[in-house]
Amino acid sequence: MTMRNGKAKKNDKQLLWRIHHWAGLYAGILIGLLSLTGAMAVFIPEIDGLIVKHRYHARSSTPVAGDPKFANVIDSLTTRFPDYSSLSIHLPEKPGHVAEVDLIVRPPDGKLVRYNFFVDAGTDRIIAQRDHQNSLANYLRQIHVRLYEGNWGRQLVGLGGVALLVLAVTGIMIYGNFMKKQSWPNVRKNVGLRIVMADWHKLFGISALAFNLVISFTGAWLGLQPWLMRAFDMKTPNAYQAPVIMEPKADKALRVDWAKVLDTIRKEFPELKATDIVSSTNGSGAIVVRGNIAGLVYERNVNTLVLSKASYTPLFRYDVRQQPFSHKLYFVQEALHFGDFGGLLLKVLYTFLGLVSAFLSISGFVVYLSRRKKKQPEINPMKLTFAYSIAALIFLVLIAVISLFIGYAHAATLAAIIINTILIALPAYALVRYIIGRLRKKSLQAA
Amino acid sequence: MHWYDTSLADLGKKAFRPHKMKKKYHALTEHYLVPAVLFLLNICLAHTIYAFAGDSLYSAAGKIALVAAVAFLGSSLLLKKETLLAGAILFYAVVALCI
Repeated sequence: MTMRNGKAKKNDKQLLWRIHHWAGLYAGILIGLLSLTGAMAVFIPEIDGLIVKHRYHARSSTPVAGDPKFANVIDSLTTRFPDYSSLSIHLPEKPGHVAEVDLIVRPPDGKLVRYNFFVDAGTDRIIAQRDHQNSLANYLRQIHVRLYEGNWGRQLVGLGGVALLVLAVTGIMIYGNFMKKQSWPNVRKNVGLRIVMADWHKLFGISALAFNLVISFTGAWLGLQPWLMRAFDMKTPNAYQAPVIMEPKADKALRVDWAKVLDTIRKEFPELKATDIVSSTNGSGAIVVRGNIAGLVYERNVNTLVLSKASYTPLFRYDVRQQPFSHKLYFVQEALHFGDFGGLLLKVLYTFLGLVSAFLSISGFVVYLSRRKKKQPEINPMKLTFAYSIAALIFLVLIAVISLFIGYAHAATLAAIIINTILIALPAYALVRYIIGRLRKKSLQAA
Repeated sequence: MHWYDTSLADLGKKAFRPHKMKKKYHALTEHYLVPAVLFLLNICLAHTIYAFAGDSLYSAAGKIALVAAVAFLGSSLLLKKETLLAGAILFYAVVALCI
């Protein structure tokens, strides 16, 4: 009976090891790419802030009355772009930061353009502008969130999260068995590449386990969210839509007293640190204010106050602290995934641990190739891993260069071609090899 | 059967080191307590940085308790004593629940 139990346990461990092995092999490159891009993506606001400051020389003077000024800029922009379909103002977060007007223009015969105008919030003047789609901040977000693949890139990234979750869970379950008589944090020396890499893999894997679990779970949810919400008929929290009460033209023509809006926010929602103000264009005659409450671990701009454009009275208020657990759970995911709740130091920790995850995918691949070397001595694990890593880096740099200097749409098209070709070619290659192998076996048996 | 009960041939040349006493291996420590402490250290580090971030709502005592928890978890990993590791886990659990 004990022997049978021992055998069953051994089989379980072998099954777990196989799952770990295959999940790592098939999703390793994807996880490596996502870890690397994620390590950069945590710094998107900081990187963008530096670019705005140094590339566009956009710095703001201090407003005399205290509140940021942008009313004249809004008036001039709405006159210059009468076909705009969305207008939002990003308020300066710190003294010296510019206000940012985000304008989406959809001309009847032209293609959609999204502009960012940087505004000196002290003098109410435009300092610079850029095309949002082609910015580095947009590249960093889109490459991590959907690998620049617009059709189902987000879901592919979500599946990468599921694979990392499987790897983390199976990894901890086989850890004891694989450590045998080895102590943490010892790495054996003079024992060959496979064992040294396996030791580093175990050492880093167990040391960053909690981080990997959090990243994988939140990443899987964020990536597969559209599918899961549709499948389980879940409703998006905080999805209030002000009712349409006038013609869109009349809505756009309504003048807004922005100083009064800022005053009303202070009065109606004092804890709210407003970051974005969106003026309606669909005929609802509303102003949507989004922002954060200090000290909370939720995604940015989740708290909302909706005001009437005509009377500045509140139409809707969403304070995440007063919401049910399901709403809190929904909005905690992105903050946990991007480490956006503990300042710069936490982001540095996230970047370090993210790079550890990238190393795990590389070291795992070296271990796999070293094992294969026994059967195929011509394989050089380090050279092959280096080649794969360089190919992945070339992909990232190529898409970045095209996106920044030619355009987002071209970069997205190329990324879609590369990713979908790989996704079709790899299983097709494996299938062809399998069929050829079977046919050879049969012909040998027949002979 | 211990290694010293076995003949040289049984053990093999590589494994037999008569001049070195093998250090006792604690499977409970290495396979369970160390991973658990590392797991909590990940969380505790992020928790402590959050507590010290600009807008956090923690009191000075809470912040001190969190720093102590990081130090306790970290030093228990260095010393790797069973009681220290278990104590560090317990300490952080209490701190996380109470602050």
